Amino acid sequence: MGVKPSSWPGHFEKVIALTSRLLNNIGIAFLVLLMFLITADVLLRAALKRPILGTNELSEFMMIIVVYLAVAYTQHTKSHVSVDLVISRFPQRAQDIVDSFIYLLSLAVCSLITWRAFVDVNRLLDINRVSDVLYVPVAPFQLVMAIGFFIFCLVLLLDFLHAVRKATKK
Amino acid sequence: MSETAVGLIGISALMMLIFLRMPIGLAMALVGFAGFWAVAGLNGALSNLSAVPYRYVADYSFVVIPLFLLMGSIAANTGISRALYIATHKWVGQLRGGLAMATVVACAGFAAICGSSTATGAAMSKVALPEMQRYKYSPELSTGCIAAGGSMGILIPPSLGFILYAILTEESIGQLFMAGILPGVLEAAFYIVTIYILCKFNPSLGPAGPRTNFKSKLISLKGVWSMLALFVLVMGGIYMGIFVPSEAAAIGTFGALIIGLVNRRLNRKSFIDSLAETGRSTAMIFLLVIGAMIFQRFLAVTNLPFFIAELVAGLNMPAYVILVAVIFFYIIIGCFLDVFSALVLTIPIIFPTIVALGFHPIWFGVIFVRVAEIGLITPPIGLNCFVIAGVTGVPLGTVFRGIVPFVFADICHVALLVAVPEISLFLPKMMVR
Repeated sequence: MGVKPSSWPGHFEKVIALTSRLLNNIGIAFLVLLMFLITADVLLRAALKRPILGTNELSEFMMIIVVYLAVAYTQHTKSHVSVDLVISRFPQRAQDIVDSFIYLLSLAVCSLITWRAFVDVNRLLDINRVSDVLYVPVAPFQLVMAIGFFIFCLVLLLDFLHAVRKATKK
Repeated sequence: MSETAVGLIGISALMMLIFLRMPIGLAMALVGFAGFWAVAGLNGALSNLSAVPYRYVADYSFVVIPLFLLMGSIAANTGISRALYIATHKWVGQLRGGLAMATVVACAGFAAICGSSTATGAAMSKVALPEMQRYKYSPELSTGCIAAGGSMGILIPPSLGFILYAILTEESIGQLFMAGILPGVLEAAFYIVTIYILCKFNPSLGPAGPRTNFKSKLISLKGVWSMLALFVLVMGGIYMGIFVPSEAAAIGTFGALIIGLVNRRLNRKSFIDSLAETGRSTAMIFLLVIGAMIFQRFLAVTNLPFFIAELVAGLNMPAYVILVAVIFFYIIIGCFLDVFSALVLTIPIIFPTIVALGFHPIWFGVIFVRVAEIGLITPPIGLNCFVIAGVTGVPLGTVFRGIVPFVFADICHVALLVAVPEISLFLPKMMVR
């Protein structure tokens, strides 16, 4: 959007777009795995009366991966739900200014969540928290969530910069 | 300042941010955080910010969201909508208005493997509309019946509306699914009667289609029996208590995948498309869920929902009068918010009141989802009508004119569901638990 791809914001933009997309693809690969895991669990239970130990907690870890690796890409494609009804009736300039403000607020709340998520990674490492059945460490999954939100922040930062540029353009 | 006042300020601030186009999940998280800080201190508010997003995603029962989404998406990409429509078309197409009736039945069938109304509407409009155009159906009737029929996607299980309602109210997903079946079948019947009456008075709206012999009727079922068997397996398994909804969702997705591969309709590209679509919708829904949960914790410390519940209970008005007011409120809300946003924004506030009035929570879930369906097809933001106008190129005004008779049917149907709770509660009560 008006930025030469060779300048650093252009590079930054490309890197963020690629990263969010890559994470998203990893996330949906885990979705397939999740489906096979639970299906196998049910079938083995039905056929051999031997379910897969720890299916529940493994599924929960996979949910973290699926959701939080997709959250940034979902922002990148502007697929998070918002209400367009009121603001779309404003003049374009006013919309751009409001957009900048809203992106800043979104960035703020996302940054807070990212910060707290990283704090919790440390806390979980300190107490060495593991899952109940398979003793899988919990911290790495909290880290996945933290990273997901971090990339979400970067996407929002880009959106914010775009909105500001639009709002300040004559 | 009292805590309830902080709660009210929070709700107003939230409304403002949402109307300024802030993503709803983030807006709820922000106001929930600030409000919790104001009422109960910074430490609790900060720990919510990390604890809630983890806890409300890492939950085994929530795997139903991505898995049922994926099942619907795979089904849509494997041409099941076409097969369904061909079958219903062969069976009832020769009646006056028969193609429109066939569309409604095919929508109901598609809703039984897809949890989303807009996806149901989009899938059916691609296959049903060209056929109705060929037989010179009026554009109003043909788009109207797809929009209305498509809205059944969130009532007939699997239903994303019920899943979100269950998460927010801690009710059982399985029971809600069962509760949606009979009302869903009845809704299809209401639409069929509507089409019958319309075409009786004005036969030019929907001329009869070609007659087909019994053999071709039977052959047409070939393409759909596998998906219907899958539905019976998934819902029957939940009903009989053989598996929990999470397992049913995995089995259903796996089954849809196998059917797609056996039919050779599912190729690499459509599978990857289904996955990508599912990833996006999943992240979108969970951002709403975690925002709603952070906001709900704030509301809980302000006591506002219980304050409202006591206030309403103290009005000494008949419970049904209040219920009717709530339904009207939701019809109006439905004009401005999509179903999921309306759910996460209002259920935490209204649900305690409903329970205090002595209404059955499962039954209210059905009423809520049913009323939300009306919002999907009424202006100004009847999402289903937008989707159908977008997919088919029929002007939006035509679609909105077309849904008018169906909205009348909707109102009668809601009134019946309110008057006879057993329609919703019969199956959940019979369920094996």
